Amino acid sequence: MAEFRMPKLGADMTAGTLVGWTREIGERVNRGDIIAEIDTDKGVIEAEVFTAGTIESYLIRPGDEVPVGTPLAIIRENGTSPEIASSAEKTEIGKVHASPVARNLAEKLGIDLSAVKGTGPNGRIQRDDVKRAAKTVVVPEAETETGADRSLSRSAEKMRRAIAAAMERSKKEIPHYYLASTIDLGPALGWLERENAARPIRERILPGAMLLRAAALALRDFPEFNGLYENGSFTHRDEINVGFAISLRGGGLVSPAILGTDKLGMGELMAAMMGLVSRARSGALRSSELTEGTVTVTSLGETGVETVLGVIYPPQVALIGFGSIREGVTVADGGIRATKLVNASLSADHRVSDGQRGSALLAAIGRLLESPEELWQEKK
Amino acid sequence: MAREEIIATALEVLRGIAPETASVAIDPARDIREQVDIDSMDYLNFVIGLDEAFGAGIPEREYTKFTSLDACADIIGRLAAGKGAAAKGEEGR
Repeated sequence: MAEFRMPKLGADMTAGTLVGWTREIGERVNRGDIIAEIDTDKGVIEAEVFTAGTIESYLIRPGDEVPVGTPLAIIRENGTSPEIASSAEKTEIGKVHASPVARNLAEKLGIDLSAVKGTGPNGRIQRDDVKRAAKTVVVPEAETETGADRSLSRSAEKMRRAIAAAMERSKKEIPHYYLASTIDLGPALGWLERENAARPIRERILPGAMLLRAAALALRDFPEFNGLYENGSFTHRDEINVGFAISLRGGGLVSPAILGTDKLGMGELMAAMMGLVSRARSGALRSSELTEGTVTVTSLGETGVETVLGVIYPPQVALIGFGSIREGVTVADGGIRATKLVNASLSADHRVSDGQRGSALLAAIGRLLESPEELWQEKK
Repeated sequence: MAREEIIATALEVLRGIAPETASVAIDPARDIREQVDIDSMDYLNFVIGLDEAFGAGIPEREYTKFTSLDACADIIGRLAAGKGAAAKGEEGR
């Protein structure tokens, strides 16, 4: 028997509220399957299980708020399982096959589940199916708006508190040092333009993906910036899971991690970033994405200030920042040439690394961006 | 396709990306970025959404030009007209 416990999704999370179960008792789950939706100060997160087996029982009910570490469910590790019998039972005539979360939501929204088309396994109705169905149902406007506004301001407030706690801890505990340097993005953007010309719009790559990839590849040679500082000592992580800062509509930000960032090709990385942004904004991040980050990158895109000097997200030890991409000039062969520039910065933990290595890391990022053929190589 | 129809659909795509604009009036002549808070990834999603909604096959050289709803109507109207002409040309052969 294994216990599935309330996960700690961030340094300062102390408790979470169960929104609902996405699987039913008796169902088989594999490692990494989403089993529950948990409301945290980072919004609603899809929680993954770490044990393969059969769900034996649930110990708390939707709506319950419990401290981190509280057992939520019992999972019988792989062995005999009543899986087939139970799924046959669910598809009986007249009985609606729906996940518990979908049931809850449908009840809340007053939607008749028998009229909803399920897209899950065996046609099971899932939360998104109910959401889709809800869009076509006419609901009195005033009522939904105030409801939505209220829940928005409540979650915005919770997120503000989470950011406040993490940033306060960071600035109290981490002796930051900051470095910055300007990178000529002309060659990389020229390369990108040619790449995009050959790609359909759907597969277009934005400059942000190049910046992220350059940072991830460069980090391979700088282990002292990739890892966690916990209980008075630093542990380097072999995997490079770059947390990618995403600002949310209505305020706040999250920095979910792209697992194995350096192992993704440019196209895969762009797809991962787009998926993460859309899930972060719709409140469907996974627990592993919030707990597995080993370093953070923030990139301001095309508008905004020239330089960002970030605050490290504890227990990480480094944050790489890219300001907005701007027009500028570069000096080469005794002359000047118009180009595009970006300011790269590093905020790092002085308990773990020193400025000289930090400078070398920024220089390595610059070298990758200034030699795009290397950056685009699909090395694993 | 009527111009109003293109603008209405483009607005729907935009509101799918920036739900907070649902009850805000958007001036079709003004730059979208001045009226709605969208970043480069939102813009990419906007163009992908237009491409899907109109089956327009938007070419790379037009990518940066969807700056206002009026511009969307101009470009998509032109692409649709080009496609219609091409289809007619094939029929004639």
